Amino acid sequence: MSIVQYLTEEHRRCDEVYAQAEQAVLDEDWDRANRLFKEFKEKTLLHFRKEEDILFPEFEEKTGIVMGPTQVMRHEHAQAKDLLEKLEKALETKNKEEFLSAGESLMILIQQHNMKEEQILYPMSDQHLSSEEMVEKMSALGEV
Amino acid sequence: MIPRGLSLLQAPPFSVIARFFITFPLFGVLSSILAFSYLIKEPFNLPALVHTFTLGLMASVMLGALFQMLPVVAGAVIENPLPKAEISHLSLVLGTLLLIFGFLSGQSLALWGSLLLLAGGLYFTAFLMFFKLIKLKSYTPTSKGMKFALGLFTVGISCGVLMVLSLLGTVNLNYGFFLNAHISFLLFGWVCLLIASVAFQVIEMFFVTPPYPKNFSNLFPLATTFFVLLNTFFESFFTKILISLLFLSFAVLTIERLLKRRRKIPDPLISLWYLGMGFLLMAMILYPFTDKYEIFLLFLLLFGNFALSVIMAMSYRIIPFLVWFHLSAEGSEAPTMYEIIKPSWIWFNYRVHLIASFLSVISFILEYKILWLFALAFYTFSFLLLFTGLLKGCLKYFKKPHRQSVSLQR
Repeated sequence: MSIVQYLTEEHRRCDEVYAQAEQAVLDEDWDRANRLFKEFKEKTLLHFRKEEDILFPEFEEKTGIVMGPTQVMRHEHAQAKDLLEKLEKALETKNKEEFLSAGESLMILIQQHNMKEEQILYPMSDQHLSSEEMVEKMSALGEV
Repeated sequence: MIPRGLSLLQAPPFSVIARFFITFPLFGVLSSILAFSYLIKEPFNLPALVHTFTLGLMASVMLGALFQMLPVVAGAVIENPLPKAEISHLSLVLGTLLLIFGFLSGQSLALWGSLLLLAGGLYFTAFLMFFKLIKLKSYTPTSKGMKFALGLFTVGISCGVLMVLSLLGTVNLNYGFFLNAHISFLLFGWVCLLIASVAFQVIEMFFVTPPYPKNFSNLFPLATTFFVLLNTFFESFFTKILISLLFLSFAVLTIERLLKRRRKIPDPLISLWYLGMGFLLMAMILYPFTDKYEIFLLFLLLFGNFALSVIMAMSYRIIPFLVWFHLSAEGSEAPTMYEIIKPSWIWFNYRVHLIASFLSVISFILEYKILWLFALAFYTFSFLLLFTGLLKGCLKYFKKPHRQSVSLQR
């Protein structure tokens, strides 16, 4: 399996769970919303970890580009983590409006981030790294 | 080889995009004022009205959006984008105003001036973007579509330049042929193809929908180019049917995707996409019959409503996101998207736009002058709401103090 395919499928799985969590907030089904959001957060953070601990260092080592795209991706991961905290707080206080507002920012941030990864970074990683080996290493961290 | 585009640090400064998005609704207001004046005092000057909308509004927002999307979607980074965007934006705004004045007054000096500004600015921007893209491999139908759309845009502009030169009496040409080419290349090869290419990416991602069929999106840029060429050189009912079928399929597939979306949150932007696709369906059903002038005018009205609805949907998403994104990247306290432009504002603007667009179609069919006045009043109000909403959003960014040493450019 290629890196593009493996990590893109993870993006889509995270999107699915977020859509369900958002629906639960919309229905004001807070227990379900909490459970689904927790699942979404865990999946997202695991996906970030696979990239930050395995893919990005290998990419940087192989290409010699350290302060380039991987740095931007890390920066956007940090922005996403801030928003995840905002969402968590909104859930704690059962503030629907705040959840949906921060959620919209998170969705667009993640989607444009995913676009860059899926169209630029992952294909380049497939070109420069051993795809099978990378997928195997990332899978060892767990499945999203 | 690592493409230069991979240097994603070079996200364009916010002001590059903001300038295009603040001025385009004003051209919408201007087009409503022009239409008002035609209602009160004939004669009807179609080229002036159409170009206020197509150049001042559509080309402006589409080029502005490309400055932002090229690095993100295709990895094509435009180095030092600020002065380039200034040239592009200024020449487009001034050139369009001069062209409208030239069409209305018939003054050749104004037409010459507009020709220099518009041709200079548009060729500069289109070539700048096209040559950035052409060097990179297209990984997706979106970046491929942008490449084709920019190529077809330059051909469409060239036809327009030749037609203005013909009006000025400097060249002799088959005006009917070039007019058909100008319309085909720009409406279908540029506007439709660019909107479709962006939709292939954003519909799935923003609304969590099933993807477009791969073969459809992959072949779409090539099919559009082929059909546009066919319709230019062998214009007939059959070639128009081919173009109609292609864009009808796109509209149907988009509606189907939106209906199957997993994010069910009520969103005015989804309503705008539905509305846009509805108008595209109606426009493309009429397109094969546009030999008749009245049908051609109705087609233009429906097409304009399609493009405007989608442009509104994209603008109301792009501006709040970029304001949040840049402020957050600078480490400032960033308001969330709903705090930048309230959804209630967008819903209100959507409803006013909905009334304006349907009233305009009904007015056209019933030919009631009083209905037209109402339609134009609603359009003007809608454009002013759009302008105010986007301006307020942009000001949320510009009013904040900015740190100079940040990883991303402003």
